Amino acid sequence: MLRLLARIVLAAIGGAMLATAAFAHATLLDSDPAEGSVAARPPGELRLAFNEPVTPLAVKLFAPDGREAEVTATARDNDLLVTLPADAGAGTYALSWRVASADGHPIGGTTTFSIGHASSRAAAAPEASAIAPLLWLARIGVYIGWIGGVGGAFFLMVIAGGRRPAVADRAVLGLIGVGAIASALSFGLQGLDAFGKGLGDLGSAAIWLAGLKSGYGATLVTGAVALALAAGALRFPTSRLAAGTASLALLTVAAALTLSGHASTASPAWAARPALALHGAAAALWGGSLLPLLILVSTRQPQAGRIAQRLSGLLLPTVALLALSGLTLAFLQGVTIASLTGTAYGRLLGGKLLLVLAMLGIGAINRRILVPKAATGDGVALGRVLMVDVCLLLAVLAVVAGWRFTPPPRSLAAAAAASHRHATMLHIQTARGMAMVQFSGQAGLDIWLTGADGRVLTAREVRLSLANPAAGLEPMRRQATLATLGRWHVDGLTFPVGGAWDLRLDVLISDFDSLSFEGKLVVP
Amino acid sequence: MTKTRLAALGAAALMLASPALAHVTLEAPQATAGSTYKAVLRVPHGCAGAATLKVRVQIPEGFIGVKPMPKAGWTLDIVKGKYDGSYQLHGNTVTEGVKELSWTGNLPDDYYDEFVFRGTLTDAFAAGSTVYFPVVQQCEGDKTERWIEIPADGKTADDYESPAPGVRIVAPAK
Repeated sequence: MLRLLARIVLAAIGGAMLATAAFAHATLLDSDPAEGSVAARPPGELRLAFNEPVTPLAVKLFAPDGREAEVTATARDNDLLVTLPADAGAGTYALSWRVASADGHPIGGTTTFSIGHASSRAAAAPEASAIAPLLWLARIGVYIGWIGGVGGAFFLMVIAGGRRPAVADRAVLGLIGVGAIASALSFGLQGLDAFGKGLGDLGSAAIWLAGLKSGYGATLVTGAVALALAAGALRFPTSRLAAGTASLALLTVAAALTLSGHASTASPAWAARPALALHGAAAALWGGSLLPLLILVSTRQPQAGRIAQRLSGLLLPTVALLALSGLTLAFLQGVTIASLTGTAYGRLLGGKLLLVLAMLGIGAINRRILVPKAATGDGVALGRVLMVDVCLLLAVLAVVAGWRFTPPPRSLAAAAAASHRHATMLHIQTARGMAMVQFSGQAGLDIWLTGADGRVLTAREVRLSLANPAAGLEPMRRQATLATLGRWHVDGLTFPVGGAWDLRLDVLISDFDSLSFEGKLVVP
Repeated sequence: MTKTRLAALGAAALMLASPALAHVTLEAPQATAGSTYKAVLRVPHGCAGAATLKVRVQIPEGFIGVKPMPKAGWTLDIVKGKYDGSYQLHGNTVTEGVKELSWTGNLPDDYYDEFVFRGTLTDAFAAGSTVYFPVVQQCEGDKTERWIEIPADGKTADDYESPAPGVRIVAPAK
C-alpha cells in the first residue's frame, strides 16, 4: 500500500516537473527610453519589453534626488508600461522593477534614464526646488511672527508696561498674524518639499500631514502656541497676567527653535540646544522691541523716552547673551574663518554678522546720544534711526531664513569625510583571486582584478551587478570595458540612495570558466 | 526496500525543491561513482528570446569514455585532448579523451530540446560531491548564455543566476 502511494506521489511529481520543464524565465529585451539614454523632455511613459508576458510585482521610481516617486505599472502583452510623473524634473531616474515570469519565477532589475541631462545623486541633491523661494518667504514670515510678534508683545507687556497707544497693539498683532499665516502655509510647503511635489499638489491632505509630521512641524506647532500666547497677552486685562503670558510666549519661541533645524542637531546637544534657545530669546527680546518702540516714539508718547532708556539698559546684557550663544553655535556648526567665505552657510553667517554689527552700531549711537535726547522729549532722530533698525532686522531674518537651504560646515565636513571613505577601495578576496573596486568620478567605478598568483587576471568579460535590497532596488547590471591593462571601467552609474550596496562581479576567464566576486560597496 | 523507497522519495523532494526549471539542466540529477552516466542536457529556451545555434559542453576531468548521441539536424563536433590525470577503463589506462562536445544547428526560442551524451564517472568522484558540466549556449545575434557558474563552498546552484548543470554523486548501493 505504502509502495503504491509512493509511486503515485513520484508520478505526480514527475508529471508536475514535465509540465513546467518547458517554461522559461522572462528576460528583459529592451526598454524605451533606452537604458542610460537622455531624453529632452519627460517621456511620460516607460516601456519595458520582455520576451514573454509578465506580471508586475514591485515597481519603484527613484527621482534624481533619491526620493521615491509613486508610479503605476501595467502589463500589456509582453510589455510592462510604467506611467512616469508628467512634472518629472531634470536629472537621472532609476526605475527598479520586479516582475513575475509566466512560470511564476520573479526576476528584477533596475533601468536608468535621464531627462534633460544626466546627474548623479550627489550632484542632484542641492538642486533648488521650485517651491524654495516660497519656503524661504514662509520662514521669514514665521520669524517675523516670533521675533516681531512674540518679542513685541513681550516688550509691550513686560518692558514698557502701563498705557500704550492702540496702534502699537495693532502692529504687534499684525506681526503675530503674519507669523500665524506663514506657519500654516509652511506645513503645506514643507510637505511639498518632502515629497518633491509642485504647488499643484497643495490640495492633497497627505502633503499637509507630511509637513505636520516633519521635524519642522513640531517647531511650527510650538511656535504657533507661542503666537497664540502672545496674542492673548495683548488682550489680558490685568497687566501681571499679561506680562506672565508674554514671558511664557517668549520662552515657548525659544523652545520651538530647539526642536528642529541645523543648529538643534549640532553636537553636543546639551550645548547646542540651550545656546539656540538663549539666542532665540535674546533675538526676540531685542528685535521685538524695535517696532513697538518706534511706534511709541513716533506717536510722541510721553513715556517713550523713559522706556527707551529702560530698554537700553536691558539690551547690553541681551546683546552679550546674543553674541555668546551665537559664537557657541557657530563653533558647534564647525564655522571657521575660511568657511565664512568658502561656503554658502558661511557667507550667510557673514552677511548676518555684518547686518547685526550695523544694528549694534546704531544701538550704540542710540544709547549714547539719541535715547538721552529722546528722554528729554526730542524723539525725532531716534524714530528715524529705529526705522533703519527695523529694516536691518528684517534683512537679518531674511538671511537667517536662508539657512534652511544650506548645510552648515560641520555637515559639509562630514560629507567630505564620507567621500574620502568613498575614495578608499573595496577589496574582495576569494580563493581564486582578488578584485579591487574604486569610485572614479561621480558615476563610474574602476575595477582591478588579480589572480591567486598575484598577477593581473586576464579576463574576457567583466559584468557588474549592483543592488540595494534594503532600499528595494533590484540589481543594475552593467558590462565593464577594459580601460588599460588590468583596469576595467564602468560608467554612467546612478545610485538613487546611499548606503551599502550589494556588488557582484562576474568575471569570464574562458568560455567555460568564470569567477565571481561579491562584496558591499558603501555609497555615501 | 524501505531504504530504496526513502531514497527515492528524498530524491523526489530534492527535485521538487530545485527551481532550476528555466535553466539548462541534466535530466538525471544523481549518479553512482564508477558507473556509466547518460547525460541528457535539457535546453528550455534560447538566449533572451533568440534561437539557439550552438550548444557546447565542457567535459569535466574524471568523466571519461565520452560518446555523444548524434542528433538529426545538428552537426556534432568533438574536441579531444589530454586529461590532467590517468584513469582505468575496462582494464586499460586512459590519459586522453573528449574534452568538449558541441552541437551546431537551430533551436527556436519557442522550442525545447535535449542533447545526449554518455560516459563513465570514474572513482575520482567522492560520494556527496557534485560533478558540473559547464554549458555555453550560443544564439542568433551573437547572444550567449553561459551556464558555467559553479557554486562556491556553502552555496548551492539556487544561489546563482546561471549555474552549470550538475550531477550529484551518491555511494553505490550495497
